[in-house]
Amino acid sequence: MENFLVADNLTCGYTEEVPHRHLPKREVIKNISLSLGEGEFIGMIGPNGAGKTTFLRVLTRILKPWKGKIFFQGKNLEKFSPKQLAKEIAFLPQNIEIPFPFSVETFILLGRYPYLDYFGRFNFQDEQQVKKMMELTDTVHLKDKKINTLSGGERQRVFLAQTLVQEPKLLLLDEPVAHLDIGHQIEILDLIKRLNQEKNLTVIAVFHDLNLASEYCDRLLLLNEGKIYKNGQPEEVLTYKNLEEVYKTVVIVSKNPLSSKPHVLLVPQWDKKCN
Amino acid sequence: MGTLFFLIFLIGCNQSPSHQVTESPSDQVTQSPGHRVTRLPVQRIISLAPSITEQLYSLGVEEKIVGVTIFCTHPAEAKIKEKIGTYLEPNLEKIVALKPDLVLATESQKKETVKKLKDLGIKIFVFKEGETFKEITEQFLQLAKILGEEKRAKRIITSAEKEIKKIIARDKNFFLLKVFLQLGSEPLITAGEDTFLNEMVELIGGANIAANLGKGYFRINREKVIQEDPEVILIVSMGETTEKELKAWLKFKNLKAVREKKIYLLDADKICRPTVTCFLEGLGTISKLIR
Amino acid sequence: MKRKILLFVSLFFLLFSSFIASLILGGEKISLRCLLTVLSNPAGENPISTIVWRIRLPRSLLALMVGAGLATCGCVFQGILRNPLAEPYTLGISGGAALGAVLGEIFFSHLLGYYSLPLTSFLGALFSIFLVYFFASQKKFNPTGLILSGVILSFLFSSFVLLIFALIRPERFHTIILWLMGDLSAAPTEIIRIVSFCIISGFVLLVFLSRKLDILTLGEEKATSLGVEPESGKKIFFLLASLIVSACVSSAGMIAFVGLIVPHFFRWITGTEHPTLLPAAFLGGAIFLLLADTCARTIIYPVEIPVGVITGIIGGIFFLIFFLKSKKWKIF
Repeated sequence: MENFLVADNLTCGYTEEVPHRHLPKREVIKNISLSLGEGEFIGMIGPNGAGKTTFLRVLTRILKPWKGKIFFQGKNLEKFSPKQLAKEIAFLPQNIEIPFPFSVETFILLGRYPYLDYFGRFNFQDEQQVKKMMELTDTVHLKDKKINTLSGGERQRVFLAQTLVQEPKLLLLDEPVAHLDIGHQIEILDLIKRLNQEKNLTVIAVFHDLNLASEYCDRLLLLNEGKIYKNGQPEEVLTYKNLEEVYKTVVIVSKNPLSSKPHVLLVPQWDKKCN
Repeated sequence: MGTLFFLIFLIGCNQSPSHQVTESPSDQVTQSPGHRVTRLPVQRIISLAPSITEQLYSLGVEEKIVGVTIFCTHPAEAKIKEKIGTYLEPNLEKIVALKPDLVLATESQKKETVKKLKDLGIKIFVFKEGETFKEITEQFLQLAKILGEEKRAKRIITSAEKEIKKIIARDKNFFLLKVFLQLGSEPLITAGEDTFLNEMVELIGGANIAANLGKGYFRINREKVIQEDPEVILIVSMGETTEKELKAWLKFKNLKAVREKKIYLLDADKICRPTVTCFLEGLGTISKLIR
Repeated sequence: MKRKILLFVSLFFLLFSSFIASLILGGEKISLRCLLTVLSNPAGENPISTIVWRIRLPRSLLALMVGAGLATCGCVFQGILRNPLAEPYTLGISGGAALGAVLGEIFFSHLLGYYSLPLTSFLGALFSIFLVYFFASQKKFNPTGLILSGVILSFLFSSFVLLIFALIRPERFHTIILWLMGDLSAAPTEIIRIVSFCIISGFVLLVFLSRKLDILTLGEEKATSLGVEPESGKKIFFLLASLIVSACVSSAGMIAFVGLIVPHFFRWITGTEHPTLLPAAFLGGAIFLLLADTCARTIIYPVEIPVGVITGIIGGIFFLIFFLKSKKWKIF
């Protein structure tokens, strides 16, 4: 379905914590308009502060748009009830603090909250979903461990499982593999790609690593200073001109010999003379 | 620490003169002076205040006492009596278990305790504690009436009044000596009008510098004391801090009291209970010192 | 699941035994047989009957309720502040209650007599709840905002209390100091009934909402994405728990540590799922305070140790042992 997710002239940001008078607003996203189709795997890239995380926050309604609207599956995002929305859109934030040592199984079960009854009890279906997702993320052997005793890679897989048990149609990931080693990065992204392909799960993921974005995403959104600089396939977006303009650094773009996807090479500048 | 203890002790000797507590009808009735008090047949008495314990002994009814507070140490015989807790926190269970006919308390007792005892069906009588000699004798008479020992009480009072007259006559010919009464260390606390200490001082011809500064017990500024320059300083003992206070005053070498070495220590134990005997004793002690 | 059943059965059993123990033990020891006779005859006139029905039973009931209330609310505050070291008094309720109590004792005790302490301390607590709510709302009720509001208000209130102490005549504050150290014997029976009702109904509501609390501990972003609005969610828990704590404090003074130790202990035993944790802490808190109070009034009978001293000492020692021995103590 085209127009699965439509953002229309979206503007949003944060209010500064300033100790006098009114709170000046700091716009982070400025007049963004885009349209996504169901089943797409979208990668959001761009420098720090470009507005990637902010955009995800608006989609999950953690932030309210200052201007513009968002339509999800044709309906205005504001019209969804919190629980309804939680069954459709799932968000995996960048940092999750865990002050309390839940067991892994319980932790993942909490992701079923939108489906629980009035008393918050887990039923058979919840447990089945959790079992399935734990198998998919290869976390079954961790189920009785406490979440604060896991390694980085294990934790990220558990977080992902918790997000997947929400059975969303749209999966939002904020730098899902940022702190993982290359083995785990591939493992997790493969899993997500598989879900995207086999279950038609729409994915919007923020990437820091341009090459991972290139390999896995159908489409890339290159954000810069709150605006969409380029919206298109990896080959269109990942050109040295775009990247040098946005990231303000020298790059060389070649091709991955196996997948033929664009491959970005970084160019250190420390030995060049200053202009 | 000594100050705190003394002040707690002082609670037994004082209450703010402003309010009158009225209780509900029947036997547990008012104690404002002047009201009729019915005599009750009592065999088992519990006292919740040291002053009351002492009065019970002087009325000769000590065999009827079945419970006292741990602070009831006068007379010495009271120490062997069964204890029902501290002055501030009498143990209700213990009181109930002792099956008293009558519980006697002063107004400084917690209202909750009084109410709870009444709710438990125990007769309790609350006395307004006396400050002046007149009030002390009135309260003593009230107690005596309840126990049917009026005659004895009257005898004690009459003999005490005679003694007081003797002391006054003996010491009356003194010029007015300015006296400062110190009861607390940090902060400095003195006794003003409507306190028995003040009355004792005035009876023997002294002038309490705090008499027109206020009623009851209150704080006073050391500077004010120095300004008044009393000829006598009476420090009521407060444990270890008494020595400190003494030394503190000795530093002010220009004070009359310091020059003439008229700073005296009074034993709080001996001087500070609102009973007739104690008043008499206290008066005697002070008069000897000031002379 | 079996483990849970076993746990709750043992807790109920322990609660029952502690309650009976609290009725038997005391200065006047009562045998079990004697107790049964007394309990079957509410209208008994003898001293033992009076002691059991009019003194020990109300007191034990209050100890049970206040212990349960404080422990449950300790869990809730730790949940919304996302901090295992939070406890019911962190958010300034104690300061307000103390100020209310002090003002009440000085200005209103003539008017309200017997009921002045519970009433004025409850009003004081409500006032501080209102202030914390208002200030924390300015910061969207995030944990830091809540804690700061609570701590600052607590300091402010305590300073006022100390100021009053400095100004009033010394003999007034003995009642207040004893209240400040925790006193389960002072409350009139009517108050005990009202407080019990508040605590039980509050508890039932909290258990009903407990799964939401689990979600709130995951952080604001995750909670929102799971359909729980963090700000209003925290507000509900804050208000409910604060009201329960106010009821506890106004009837029994400031009893420390129960709201910190018991949640900690049961988090270790039952795990941190609130639908299980809250009921377990409820029962555990009741048992703890019942036993502590029995000690407090028995050890140097007829003199009573303030119960807050006992909970502080026992609690502190347990906490220390726990802390030193526990290997799982990584994240705390």
